[in-house]
Amino acid sequence: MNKKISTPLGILILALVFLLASYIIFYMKASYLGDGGADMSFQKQSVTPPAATGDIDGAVDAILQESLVDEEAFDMEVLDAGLIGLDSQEISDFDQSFNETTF
Amino acid sequence: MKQHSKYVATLIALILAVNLFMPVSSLAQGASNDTQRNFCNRFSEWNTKIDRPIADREAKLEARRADRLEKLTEKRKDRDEKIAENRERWSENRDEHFAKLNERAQNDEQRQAVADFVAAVKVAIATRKAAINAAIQAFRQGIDKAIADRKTAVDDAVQSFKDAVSAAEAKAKADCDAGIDSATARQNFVNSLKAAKEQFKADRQEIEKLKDAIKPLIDTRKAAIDKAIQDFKTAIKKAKADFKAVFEPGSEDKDENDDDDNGSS
Repeated sequence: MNKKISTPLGILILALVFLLASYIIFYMKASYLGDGGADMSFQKQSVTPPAATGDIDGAVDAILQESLVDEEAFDMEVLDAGLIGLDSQEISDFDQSFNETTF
Repeated sequence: MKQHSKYVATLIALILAVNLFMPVSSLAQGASNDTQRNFCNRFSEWNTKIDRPIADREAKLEARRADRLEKLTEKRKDRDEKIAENRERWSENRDEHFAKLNERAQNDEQRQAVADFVAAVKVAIATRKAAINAAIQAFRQGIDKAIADRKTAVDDAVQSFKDAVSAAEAKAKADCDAGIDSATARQNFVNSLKAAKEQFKADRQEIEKLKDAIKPLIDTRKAAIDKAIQDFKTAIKKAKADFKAVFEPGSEDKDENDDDDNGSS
């Protein structure tokens, strides 16, 4: 009876661990490549400009807020630095091109 | 009787376990001796075991590089479009603010103050945009250079690796042709391949350090952006004070103090 429960339970736990590991790897890869970052940034940039009222303080606040667009644009550029090392795995794989002990 | 069955089951399990590993290890030992003895007769294996895997990895590296270039181009294009779109949106909003300010003007002096404010803001924005665009452009060139430098370094390392492997293969053939003992020729070959791998590993570690060269570039460009934004804020603050001097005489000093207290603008 115990075996009947423990075997499927073990398989279930293993499947869950595998799913969790896959999710973590996928998430880390996406975040490394900055795939999700761009959307987040431009969401921030999509702040609606304040409506014009004829008040100089409001106009100046709006004009100053506008500079955030440029600031954030550069922050996005910086994420491209992560792409420099995108081929790291492929370079590292040369180490495993052959197994010299098999000759 | 029950106890006896337990012993039998344990014994069978033990035999099965030993049986599972023994043949593999004894075969492995046999293969190893065989391998050493026949080393000089198996040059033909090198193509499938060494040369082709290296060529496959070169192809994968090239594919990844193409993938990186595509990603980079796509991201830059996407960002350029979004920036242009956002700037356009804010520009339209700014024009609405200018129009409302103009509606407030009651006399020529005030109309001139609005015109001066608009002109000052436009100059400040053009200056800021030019500085930001230049910083982004310089940063992109820096990223491109870092990628190009990395490519050159990797290509050199791969070429050295391939040359070392070719040299090891040529030496092994020469050893075998010269009648050197097969096991000795094999050992020399294995040692050379191992050394080629070690050298490549060391080169690879140096190449990874090249990525750090981008950090000063980020800091420099970030400083340029910060300065451009600060200059922009200063110019806008002055334009606002000049505007208020005409529309709300006396209030510009108060504003200045408020700004200083808040540490903003």
